[in-house]
Amino acid sequence: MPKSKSIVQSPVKTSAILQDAAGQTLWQSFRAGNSDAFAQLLHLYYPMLLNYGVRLSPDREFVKDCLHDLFLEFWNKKEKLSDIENLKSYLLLSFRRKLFRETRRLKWFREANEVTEDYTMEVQFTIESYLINNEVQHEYLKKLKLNLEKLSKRQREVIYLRFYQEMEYDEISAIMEINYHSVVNLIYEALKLLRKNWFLLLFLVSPYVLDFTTSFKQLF
Amino acid sequence: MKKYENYEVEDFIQDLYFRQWALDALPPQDTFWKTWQDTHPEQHEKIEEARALVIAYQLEAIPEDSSEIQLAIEAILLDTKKGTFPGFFQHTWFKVAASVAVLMGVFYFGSRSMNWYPLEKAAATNPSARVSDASGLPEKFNQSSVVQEFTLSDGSKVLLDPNSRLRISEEFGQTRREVFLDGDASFDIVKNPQKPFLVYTEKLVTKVLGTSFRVTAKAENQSVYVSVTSGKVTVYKSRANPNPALSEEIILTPNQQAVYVKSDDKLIKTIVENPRQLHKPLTSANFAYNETPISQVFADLEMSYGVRIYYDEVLMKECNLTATLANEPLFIKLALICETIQASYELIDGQIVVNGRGCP
Repeated sequence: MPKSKSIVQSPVKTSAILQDAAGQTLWQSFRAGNSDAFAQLLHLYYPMLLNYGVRLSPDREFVKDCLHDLFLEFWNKKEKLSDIENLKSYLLLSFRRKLFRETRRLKWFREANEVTEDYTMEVQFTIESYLINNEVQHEYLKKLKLNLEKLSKRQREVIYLRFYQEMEYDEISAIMEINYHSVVNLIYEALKLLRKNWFLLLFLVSPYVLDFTTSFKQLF
Repeated sequence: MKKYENYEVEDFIQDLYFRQWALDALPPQDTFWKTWQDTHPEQHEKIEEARALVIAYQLEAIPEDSSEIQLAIEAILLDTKKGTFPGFFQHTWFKVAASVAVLMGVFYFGSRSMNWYPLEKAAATNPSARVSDASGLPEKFNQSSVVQEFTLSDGSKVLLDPNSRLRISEEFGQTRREVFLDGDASFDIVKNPQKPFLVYTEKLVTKVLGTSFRVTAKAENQSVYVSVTSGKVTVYKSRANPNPALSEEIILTPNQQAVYVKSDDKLIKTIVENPRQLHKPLTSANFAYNETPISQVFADLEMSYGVRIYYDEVLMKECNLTATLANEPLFIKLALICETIQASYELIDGQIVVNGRGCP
């Protein structure tokens, strides 16, 4: 468990903060009806949202349809929208809700008897791809994959939002609509599992792993 | 300040600041972690382990296609301009309906095509069967020498060229909106996601998602053209293929055109002869440039005309442009740019490829 749970904005998030500041300004002029600002908002946030969406649903066209409608909804009710303090979180949350709502709706049409909040969370770690690309056939690779599959989709989603989107815990808690402590627990359980696998990895395939870390560092 | 002294390996791994350092993403002047590590030797092991874990367990990116994103953004912007909003409910239904339509379209047309021409002959010999008004009678035949405009029962507009014939399905508007075209016509279709609009010609089917476009399909011509003004259109061969998944299908966005070459039985995608400007350029008002990097200029053109331009970014990174290109058509703009940067362009498969040797 973390010793410190105070939410201190890490000093390196400046680029993200700058992006959000730009987004904030654009959001305001978009609400005033400026279509150029709307276009720029799309360019700023669409790729990031698509990236999240295709991990949550394997059907890329469906994800794009949802995004399409989400932004049209924003546009059509722009007068009713308020100022958003944290635009990136707000967009991730709105999009996540939209995606699940439409998934349920679609499911309901297809198979009326099964309505669950069923989603996937697609993440792959560098080390897996590295071992696969280098054709490491070791028995351990299978085990690693098997172990990583033990990560629940919620754990994977928290990891994605933390590691990839670099969101703070309170933001993640808002986006996934679970409480703060659940977020913290999810990530620490996941990290324990990853760490356990790392130890096994070090013992079993150390030549590859050492090679991996050194070759990775040499990239810089 | 966070209490890094008490951090365990997991705490370090999830710390965004630490992650940035481990991944060498911090600016070089930020020496916090180096210093911290030196002053806390007892934490050294934990830091090294956490660092290795951060590196090994980065998340793999999912490949992104910038032209795909570009098109998706354009489609959204286009819909906001039109002020129409289908709503997801209908949207989803339409997707389902559309896939059914493709499937049924093929079968339906397969059986339909048997009696399409005979029916037409019957109509030709019986003038009373081709009264041209919108009251639901099945056929329009423009024998005049000017383009005729008329409105279909769903409100969609058709501009029918001289000597062209449009037959309207008897079930028009019930589940689908189907018309059969022999000749040339432009369409401006009222959006109705539940009832896809399909234009059948002898060789091609054009399926519409609410949009305007033009079909050129005179029987005596060597090729059939479908070009798109706004919205999104799907074109596929109309031959009765028992397996619809095997039929070639291309999706057209504004300024794109499908050409079906009858002799080769080939369906290809190109750019229309004179692309319309769809959006204002993002960065420079009216294409006015002053020593602007060429990548910026091309990005503006891509955005404004909804086309894709391929070029060697590395080779041309020194190229820039000082010019005002306001009202010229796209291909004139391209020719002017190419002349300035000593390059040439060609059209390949609906895309623009610029070849050059770079700039000094």
